[in-house]
Amino acid sequence: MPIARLVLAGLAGLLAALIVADMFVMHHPAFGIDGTPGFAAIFGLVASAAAIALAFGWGQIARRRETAAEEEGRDG
Amino acid sequence: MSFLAAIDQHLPVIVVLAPLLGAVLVALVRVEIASWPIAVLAALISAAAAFRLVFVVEQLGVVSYRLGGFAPELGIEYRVDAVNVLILLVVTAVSLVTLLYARQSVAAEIDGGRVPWFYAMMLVAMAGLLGMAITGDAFNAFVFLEISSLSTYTLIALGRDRRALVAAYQYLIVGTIGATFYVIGVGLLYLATGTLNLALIVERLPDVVSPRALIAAEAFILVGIALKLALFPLHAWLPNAYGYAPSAATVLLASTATKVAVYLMARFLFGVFGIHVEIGPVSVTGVLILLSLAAMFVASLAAVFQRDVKRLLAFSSVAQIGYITLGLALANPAGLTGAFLHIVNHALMKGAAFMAIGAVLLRCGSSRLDDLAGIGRTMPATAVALTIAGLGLIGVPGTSGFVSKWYLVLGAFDDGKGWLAFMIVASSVIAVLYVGRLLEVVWFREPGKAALAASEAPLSMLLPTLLLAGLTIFFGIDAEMPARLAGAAATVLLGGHP
Amino acid sequence: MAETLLLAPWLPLIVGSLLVAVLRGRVQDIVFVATPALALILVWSLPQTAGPDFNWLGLTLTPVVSDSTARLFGTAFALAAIGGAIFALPQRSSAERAAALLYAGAAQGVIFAGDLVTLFLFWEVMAIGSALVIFSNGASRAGLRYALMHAFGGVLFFAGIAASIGSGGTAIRPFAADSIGSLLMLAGILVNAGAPPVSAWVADAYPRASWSGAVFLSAFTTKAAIAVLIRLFPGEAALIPVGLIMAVYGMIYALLENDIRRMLSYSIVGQVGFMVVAIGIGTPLALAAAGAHAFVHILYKGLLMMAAGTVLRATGTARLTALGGLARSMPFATCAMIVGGLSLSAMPLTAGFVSKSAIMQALADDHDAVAWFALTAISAGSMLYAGLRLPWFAMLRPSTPRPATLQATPAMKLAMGGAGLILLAIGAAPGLLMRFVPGIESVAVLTSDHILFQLQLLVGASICFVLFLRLLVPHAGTTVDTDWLWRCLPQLLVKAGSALSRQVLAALSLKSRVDTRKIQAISEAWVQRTMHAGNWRTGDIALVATALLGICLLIAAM
Repeated sequence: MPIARLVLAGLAGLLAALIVADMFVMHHPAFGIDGTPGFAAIFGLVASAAAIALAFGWGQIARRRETAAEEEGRDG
Repeated sequence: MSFLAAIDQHLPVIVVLAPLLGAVLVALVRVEIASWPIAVLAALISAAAAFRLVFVVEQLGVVSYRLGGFAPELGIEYRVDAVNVLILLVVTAVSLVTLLYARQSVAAEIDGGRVPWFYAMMLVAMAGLLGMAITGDAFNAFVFLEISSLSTYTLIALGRDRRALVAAYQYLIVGTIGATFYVIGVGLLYLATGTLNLALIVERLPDVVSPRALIAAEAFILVGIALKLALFPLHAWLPNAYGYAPSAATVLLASTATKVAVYLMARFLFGVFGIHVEIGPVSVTGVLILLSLAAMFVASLAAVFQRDVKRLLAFSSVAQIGYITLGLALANPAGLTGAFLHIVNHALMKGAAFMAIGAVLLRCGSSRLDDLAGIGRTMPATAVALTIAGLGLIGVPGTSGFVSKWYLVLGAFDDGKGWLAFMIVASSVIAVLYVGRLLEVVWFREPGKAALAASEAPLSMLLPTLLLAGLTIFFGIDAEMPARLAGAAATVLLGGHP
Repeated sequence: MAETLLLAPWLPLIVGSLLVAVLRGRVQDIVFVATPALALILVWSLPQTAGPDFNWLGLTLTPVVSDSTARLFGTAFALAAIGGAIFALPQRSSAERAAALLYAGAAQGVIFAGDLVTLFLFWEVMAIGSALVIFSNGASRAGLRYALMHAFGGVLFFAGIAASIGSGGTAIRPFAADSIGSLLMLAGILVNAGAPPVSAWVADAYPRASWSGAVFLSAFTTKAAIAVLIRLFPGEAALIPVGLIMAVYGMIYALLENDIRRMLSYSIVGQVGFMVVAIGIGTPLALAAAGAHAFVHILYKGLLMMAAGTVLRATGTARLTALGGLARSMPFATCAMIVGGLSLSAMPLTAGFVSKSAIMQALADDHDAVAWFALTAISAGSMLYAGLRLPWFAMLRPSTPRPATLQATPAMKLAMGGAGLILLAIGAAPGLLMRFVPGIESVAVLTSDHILFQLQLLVGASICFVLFLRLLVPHAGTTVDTDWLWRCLPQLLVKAGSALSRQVLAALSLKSRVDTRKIQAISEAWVQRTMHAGNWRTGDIALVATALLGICLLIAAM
């Protein structure tokens, strides 16, 4: 999927630019580490990956597949 | 002026005599058309007298009326104070509204020839109940108890369903056992004190040598009355009796009969024996609380599983009586106020509920839950009244049921029994279940054949029903009047002056 | 004094509810929209002085009293009601309209209640109104489940209030969760807030409302609980873990969900979790931030619900699996969904950024590292489901679009446009919001390091979204929710219990050769007897009565 790769490259470029910009601003960290330039980028990547992993894992355990008709019929 | 004053003097006896004479008149005339107006007129006079008594009692505190002018030692004394004037008011007012409601329902449910007898029995039952409430004489109370019971057996047996006969027979046996227990207890009291007048018994109690005789008397009297008021586990006669009696009779019984028995129990518990008596290691209040809780939960649960709405409401009555006796057992101002408020409020909402079911019975010919499906679409006003009554039974804020439960909860906390408050509220959740089941059927089910064919209840039945339902709402918002009367009753029972 | 009562913001709404039930046609439309607008005016014209007192059952009631918290929530509720009403104009259901106004009025009543009893009364009316909104869509079973849940919460709340009145009267005041009374109260409020373990009611009930009804539902109940928590339990430390669990739960279930409105319901729980954490912190800044976030959340969740409602009305479904490719045919709803989603994700220049910054600032000031890092991570997760997954799968992804049979009417566009504009305006000029939320003026919002931080977080989340897109594809299905506890667990327990008892009985019968059938018959008869307690034999009744008497006499004789 070249489009997906293109979007990914664009986002990565944007993130890199943001990190670079982050090196030139004055930080007001509350816990020290959150003032490191680029911290938010890494934290965002890791946290999102963790969220997806958590949701996917829980989905494997607790989500029951249904047909579309079953899903509609469940209401009431 | 002097005429009014003369009437004022004789109010206590007018309250009882009006329905009694009315009954005699109905029985003598025995014309179907005439019996209803006579009955209504008698009830109206009685209600007016009771209403006037409320003011008189508020001014004087206690009204004592000596029948035939004999002294209390010899004769019978009618004694009206803040406690029983409330009961008189409820009984007369509800009876009046019930009789107003009854005409078409009775015409449909009772064979033509028996209609005058039915009204005569209604009036006799009313007179008996009023007499039980008004008399200050223990044995006279027994006589009135029998009067009301005998007429009640007849009323139940007049039901269309053949099972009504069995229910009446069962109630006859059980009622007789209860009355016998009661009269044995009164006999023991008489042996110990030498008088039947309640006030005199109280005066002479300190001189009684053997406390054992007293305790035996208390046991007989309380168990006897408990049978009449359907205190759990002595309630088993009630669902069938209410379920199979003619609609109008059910309304009268459900809103008044058990309440008067509750009053009598309160009178003996507080006025005669003293609530804090302990029988050996067991305290009366403890037992009463236990039985009340059992009634609240078990009867409510049983109501959830009923298939007939009249029986459902009857079980609900057993549970609601549990709230009332719980209020008595708390024995503090808030709890007692709650109990007496619930006597009033339950009379209103159960009256409204049974009236609504009576209307449905008239139009659909059935009170089975399944046959009520979708009745909200064809009989909306009746269904609204039923809904309001149901919400009151749950104790939804804005209905009078909330106000009385509120006082009960306050009483529980005043007594340092927070868990009891929780039980009161928790048992209301079961009420949510059975009322919810009823409302779901009434409003959300697809109407069946009978429900589709039904039309709105006739105005003569609808108006009394809506009146009681409206009062349920009104007393839920402005509870000043009933709360004041119930508060005065509580104060008097606890030995104070209102 | 009593004329202040005429300024009560709930009054026009409740009167309006009755009018709407009676009126029809154009007049009904006008009343439906005008009464929330009147309520908004009253919210601001009500003086912030002591309210009028009334005596009821020996209790002093204050039906209406205003302060800055009340004004903030009152404004949000009024805006939600106005927006919801305008949006619902094409929905010609008198029942839903009357229920919605009753619901909105009761919510205002909760906010402006001056004592615990009034608060409870409106609390219950609110439950009734909201249940009626669900019922009016014909979802009677879901409505009943919802009503039961709120009856349960109401019971807890009532018991708690009754217990607390004994020690300190009916005044609304901060409590500490250290006595039975205050714990019951807290539990009752948390039921309404959608806290665990009863969170499932939110996602069970809200998607059962009509396409317009859900807009009202998403605004009031949970946020009213937040307002009450701010008043009654500020700084209650137990709320911090509760809120964190809610935030995680909301995020995970939203990431898995297929139905848009169910997803948004889960998201409500998640975002309310943010507010609950802030209330648990309890500093003035944290409480103000919780209020501000509630305000903003009502707006963006309302906007998202409107977008979802528009899609549902147009295509007949709100399932992600059945949607996609709608951007061209429904550009307005798509924009609304994106603005709402980005606001939920706290994208800079949206209102969500302002309020979430305030919450994070409050956490940072309190040095609560665990909550801070957890909520920052969950913010990234929010971007995943609301900012990306929702608009992508519902609208943007290439797919053969379902025909949009009913286009959004001008009224619906007006409602969505208004909400979106307010969100963007607050985002661009945070002072608009800060002006009437005293306490959050000091929060740095539009500073370069702060904006950069948030952008990195969101772009990082976006990269993950693109990378793991395949894991996030929606599927038809259900996720086991906390309602398993009361819908399945009891059955399991009964089954296990009966299996166990059968084994025990079998073991017993081996030893004592008791016929199991006999035991079964006896126990069945016993169950029958309790259930149909009315059909006792006369002899049994007499026996019980005599037994009771006998016991009394026996005890007396001893």
